[in-house]
Amino acid sequence: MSEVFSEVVVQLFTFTNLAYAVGGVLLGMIIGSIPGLTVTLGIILLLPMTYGMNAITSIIALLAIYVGGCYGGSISAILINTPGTNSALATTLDGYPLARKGQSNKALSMSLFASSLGGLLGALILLFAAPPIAAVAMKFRSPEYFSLAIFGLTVIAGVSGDNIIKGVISAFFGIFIASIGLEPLSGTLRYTFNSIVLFGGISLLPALIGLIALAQVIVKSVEEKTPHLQGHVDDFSEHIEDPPVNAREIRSVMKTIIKSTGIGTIIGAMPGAGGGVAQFVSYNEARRSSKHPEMFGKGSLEGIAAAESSNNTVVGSAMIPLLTLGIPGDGVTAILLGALILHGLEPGPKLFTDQAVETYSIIIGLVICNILLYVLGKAFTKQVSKVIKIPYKILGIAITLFCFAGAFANSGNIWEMVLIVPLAAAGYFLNLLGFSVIPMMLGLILGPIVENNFTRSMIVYDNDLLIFFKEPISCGILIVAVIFTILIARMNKRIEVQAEKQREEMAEGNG
Amino acid sequence: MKVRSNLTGGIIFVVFGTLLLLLLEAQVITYGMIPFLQSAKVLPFMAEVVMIAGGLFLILQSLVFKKETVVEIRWEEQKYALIVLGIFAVFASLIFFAGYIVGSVVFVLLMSRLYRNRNLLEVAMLAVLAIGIFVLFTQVFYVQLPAFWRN
Repeated sequence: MSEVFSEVVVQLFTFTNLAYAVGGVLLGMIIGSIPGLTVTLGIILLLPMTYGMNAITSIIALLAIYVGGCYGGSISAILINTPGTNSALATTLDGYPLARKGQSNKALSMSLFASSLGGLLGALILLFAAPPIAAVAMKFRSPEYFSLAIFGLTVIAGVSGDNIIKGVISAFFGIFIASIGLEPLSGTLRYTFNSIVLFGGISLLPALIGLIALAQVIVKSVEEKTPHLQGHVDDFSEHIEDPPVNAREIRSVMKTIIKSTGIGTIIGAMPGAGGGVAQFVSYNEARRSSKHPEMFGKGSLEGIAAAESSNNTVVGSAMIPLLTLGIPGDGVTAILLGALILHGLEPGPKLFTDQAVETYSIIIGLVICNILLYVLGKAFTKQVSKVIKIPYKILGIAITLFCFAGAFANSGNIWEMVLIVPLAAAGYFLNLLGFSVIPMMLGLILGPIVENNFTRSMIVYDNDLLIFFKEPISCGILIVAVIFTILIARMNKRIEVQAEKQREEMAEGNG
Repeated sequence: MKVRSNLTGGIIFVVFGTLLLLLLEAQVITYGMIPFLQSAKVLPFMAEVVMIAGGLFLILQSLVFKKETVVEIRWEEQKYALIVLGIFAVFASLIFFAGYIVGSVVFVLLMSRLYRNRNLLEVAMLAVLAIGIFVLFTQVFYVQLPAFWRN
C-alpha cells in the first residue's frame, strides 16, 4: 500500500494537475453561479477537452468543476434569489433574506465555509470508506455486476420528474440508442440501416451534447425570446461590502455542519437521491434541532450551513458507489462514470487493485479540490458574482460553439457533429412532453454494462434467466434496488413538493 | 395548443417501439446457432419491449385512470425552438462544407440576429471566441477541426 501512495504522490502532485484543479474549481464556480448553466453541462463541455490528458488529470479537472459548481450555485441563490444549481435551492431560503438585510458577504462566506468543510469531510469519508466496500465487492461475478447495473438504473426513480414510467421509457430509449452500431462481443451490426455513419454507433459524448447541452440551449433560447417566462429579480451582486462571518458565528454552526455532512454522506451514497434531496433533508433537520427555529427562512446562518455543507458532501459520497460498484449516485456522477470509462478506467472493485494509483490519486485530488475551493472562493467570489448577469444571448452562443467543437473532438468524425442536431431535437421535444433526458443518459451509459454482464451470465450459466435470483448476493442487490426505487421515489415526491413551494415563494418575492 | 403528454408520449413510444421490434430481424442479423439470450438481439429487444409496455401503461394512465399532465404548447414559443434547431442544422452543414471558422462566424451572426443583439462589440467578441475555440482545440488539444473549405 505504501508503494501505491508513494506513486500517488509522484503522479498527483504535478504542476499540470494543480493548474487543472485550480482552473476547474474556478470554472465550476462560474458555471454553477450562472442560472441556466448546470454542473452537468459544464462537465459535458469540458469532457472533450480532456481527451489529450491522462486519466488522473482529466478526472480531477472534471471533479474540480463539480466541487466548484456546488458552491457556485449558492452565489446566485444568495445574491439574486435564483439558485445556479438545483442543489442550491434550499440556500435561497436564508441566503437571499440575509442579502436583503445587507449581509450578502456574511451569507456568501458562510456558504463557502460550509461548502468547503462539507466537501472536505465527504472526500475524506470516500477515502476511508471506499476501499473496504471495494474489498467486499471483489467477490462479485457477472450476475452480481448485472444486478448492480440494474441497481444503477434505480437512479431513474430520482430523476424522472413527475412520472416514473416516463423515466423508465426514457432510460430504455437511451439503452436502445446505446445498442446501435457494432456489438462488441459478437461483432453483429445493429440498426445501422446500412449507413456507414451508424456503424460505430452513437458515441456517448455527442449523445450527451445533443440530448442535454444543446436541448438546454433551445429551452433557454425560447425563454430569452419570450419575456413572460422571465421574472424580475432584486440584484445584490454589487453589494458585497459587509464583513464576513466571524469565528463565533462559525463555531455556532459547527454542530449543524457535522450533522449535515452525515446526512449528505448517507443520501449521496444512495443512487438517485443526490444534492437536491440532501440539502432539504439537512435543512429540515437543522431547523428541527435549532435553538432558533424562528430564524429559519429569515436569514439563518444555520440554514445556509446545513444546505451548503450537505450538498457539497454529496460530491464525495456519490463517488463511493461509483468507484466501488460502478453505480452512479446522480446525474453528474453518471457522466463521470462515462468519463472514467472513456479514459480507460473501469469503475468497480477492481479499480482499487488494478488501477489503485489512478483511483487514490483521484480521491486525494478531490480532497485537494475542496481545500482549493476555500482558498479560491475567498479570493474570487466577488469577481465571480459579477458574471452571473451575463445575458443568455451571449452564453447560449458560446455554449453551442463549444458543443459542436466538442462533438467533433470525440472521434474526429464530422458525422457525429451532424448527428447532434437531430439528437438535440429529440431531447427538446421529449423534454416538452415530460420525458427527462437524465434517465436517457443513464441508459446510454449503463446499457453496454447491462448487456455485457447479461450475455456473460447467460453464457456461463447456460441461459438460466433465474440465475440473477438464485445467486444470493445478486438477488439481495435486486431486492435492495426495488426497495431503493420505492423509497427514493417517495422521498423525491416529498422534496419536490417542498421545492415547488419554495420556487413559488421565490417567484412571488421576485415578482 | 393543449397536449395530453401521457397520451401523446404513450402513443409515440408504442408506435416507435413496435416499428423497431418489426425491424429487429432485418436490422440485427446474427450468424450461426447462437441462442437468443446470448445474441446481440437481446438488448434492443428488451429496450423495445419496455418502450411498448411503458407506452401502453401511459395510454392506460391517461384514458382509464385519468392521470394526465397537460402541456401547453404555444406556437409563438415553439417557432423559436424550430428556428434555433434550423440554425443548428445550418451550422452543422456549414462546418461540413465550409469548415468550423466560416460555420461558427455565420452561426454567431444568425443567432445574434435571432436574439436581436445589436451590440456589435458583443457580436464581434463572440466571433473572436469562435476563432479562439478553434485555436484551443487545434493547437492545445490537437483536435483537427476543419478550418475552411474541405478539399
